[in-house]
Amino acid sequence: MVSKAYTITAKEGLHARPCSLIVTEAMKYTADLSLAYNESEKNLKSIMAIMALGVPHNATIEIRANGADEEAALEAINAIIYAEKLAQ
Amino acid sequence: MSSIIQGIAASAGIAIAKAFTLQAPNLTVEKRTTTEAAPEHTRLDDALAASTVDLEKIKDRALTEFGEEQAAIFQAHLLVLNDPDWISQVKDYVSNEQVNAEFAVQTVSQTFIDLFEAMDNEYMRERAADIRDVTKRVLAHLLGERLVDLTAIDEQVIIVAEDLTPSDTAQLNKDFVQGFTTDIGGRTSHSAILARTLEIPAVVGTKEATTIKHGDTVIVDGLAGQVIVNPTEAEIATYREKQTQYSAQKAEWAKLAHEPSQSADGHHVELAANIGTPEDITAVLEYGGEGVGLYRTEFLYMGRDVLPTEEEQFEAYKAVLEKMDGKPVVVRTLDIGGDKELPYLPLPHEMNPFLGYRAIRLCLDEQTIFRTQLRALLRASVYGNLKVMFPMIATVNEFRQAKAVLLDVKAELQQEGIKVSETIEIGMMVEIPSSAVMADIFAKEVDFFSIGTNDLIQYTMAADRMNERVSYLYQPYNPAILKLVQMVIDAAHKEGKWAGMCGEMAGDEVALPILLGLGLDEFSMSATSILRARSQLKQLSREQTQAAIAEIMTMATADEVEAYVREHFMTK
Repeated sequence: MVSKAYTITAKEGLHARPCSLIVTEAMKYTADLSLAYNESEKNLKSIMAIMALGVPHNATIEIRANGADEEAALEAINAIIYAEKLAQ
Repeated sequence: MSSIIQGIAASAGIAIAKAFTLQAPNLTVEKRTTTEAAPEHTRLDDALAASTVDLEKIKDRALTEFGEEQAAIFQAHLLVLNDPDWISQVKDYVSNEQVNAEFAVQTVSQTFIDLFEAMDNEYMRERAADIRDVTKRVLAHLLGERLVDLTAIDEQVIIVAEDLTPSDTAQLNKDFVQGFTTDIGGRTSHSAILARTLEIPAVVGTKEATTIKHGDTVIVDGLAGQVIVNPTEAEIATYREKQTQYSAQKAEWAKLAHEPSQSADGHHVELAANIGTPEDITAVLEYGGEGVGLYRTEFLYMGRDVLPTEEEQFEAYKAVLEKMDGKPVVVRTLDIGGDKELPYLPLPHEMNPFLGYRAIRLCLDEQTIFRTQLRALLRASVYGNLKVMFPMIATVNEFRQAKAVLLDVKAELQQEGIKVSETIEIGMMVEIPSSAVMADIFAKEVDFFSIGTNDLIQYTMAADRMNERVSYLYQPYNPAILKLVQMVIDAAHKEGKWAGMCGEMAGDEVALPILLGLGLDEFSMSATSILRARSQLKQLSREQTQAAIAEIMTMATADEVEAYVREHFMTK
């Protein structure tokens, strides 16, 4: 398993638009992907579960990937997080 | 026999065509018990696959017809549809509860809908509508019901529906859909905004549009907010005429969008717009508005369960100021209470809400709410040309108190190291007769006046314009009103200040020549009236209107005033 932690610096937190992008990307990989926040861990391929978390500004989250293409998946998600300026 | 349905004019223009009723399919779900889960799982998979095909098509259509933004809505729908957590929860529900797929879909979706609707973020609450939309589609496939296929429309129609969902509207074919009317919704609902984007007439919030039968001939009058059902030949002819006039006029006015607002003899006034939300700016700019003369901030507070945060307000104010790009933006601080209630701010019931605890009276009392708004406003001030005005000022003391709070908030922000513009003008609404009478005194302390005629007329005439039995007393041209307006404008000019008007009177054809003659500096109206006003202004000589004022002010009745203006300044 590989993982990476982020502090969400975007003012609106993990907003609907970046959520959609991340989930769309996550679906392309066979690895299990998840987002851990506030002691709960949700499936990164589930838009409803991720949005329901309501991750706010300044929250610390961790993206976890587990499976054959875990490295590539984490790398791709990481790229979106920075491109969308969710974290710095 | 024709009948008339009254609603809200959501998008201007006139359309005449046959009604296409968008009847919701019967998606009633019955609970059935089944011991075998596998066939139900297969049915679900088939329905999901069929729904995916639908949505891909709609998404492609949205992309070509409306662009990226609309298409993104359906990308989100596809994500919901293929959400692995949702699918596995539905399948587990089928297996564990031994029920049919329809019932499982509905139950599981409802838990998500409830979850999103309970969120304190409006954007997230709206996502519940997306889930509902997707769920309907899946249920229709499971139940073998057909969702109305709007793409199949191949003749000119007017869409009649209870409401239009985003997926309905994205399927509308502009070549055939002439207009629409709905039971619910307001000027800012999704369907209304879309109608304005497509420039097709729409009347929403009619409560009874769905009584119209499929195939009935219907006239949608998006100018007057009326729908005429089964019109007579004569009515059709009248509306065809109106339709032609409207398009000719529109083409004529469109040429004026980038012209200055000037009288025939070269006097410039500012034609500004009244807005309720940042989205309204698009229309303001399109119609060549030279500023925002009234930003009603109430909408930020309405239709929700908690007060808007400082951050949410800041974002809205900043968006408006940035989009207006240095043009003046007059923001009215919260005007709530009385008849406008907020669910999270319980106020005691009052005998006379219009004479009661509202607007600045409430804000000076509930200072936390007031200060939060002022903080957001002042923080946003560096992004444009902000002017702040206080509503319902009756006494000089109220204005002084409100201004003191603003200056205190400003000092507080500066102490925190937050930048605040140094050129913010602070003014007031003149809507209570006492403040109009005292305008000469107020003028020494304010930076500007904005005359709110809707309330000023009601308070001066002591008549509620919503009360049909006394609404005849709502007389904008009554000399009593004109004299008050004159006092306010003169008082402002004597102190070197400016005077504007943001009530409906500012956009009124008969009032315009009088207001021009009185020297009004800024006219704020609905964005769609700006070009008409600019075109009228171009025909008027400021000098002649000024010369007429003395005579108008000797008149006894509103009728005399109106007849005089029509005769001298509205030759048609």
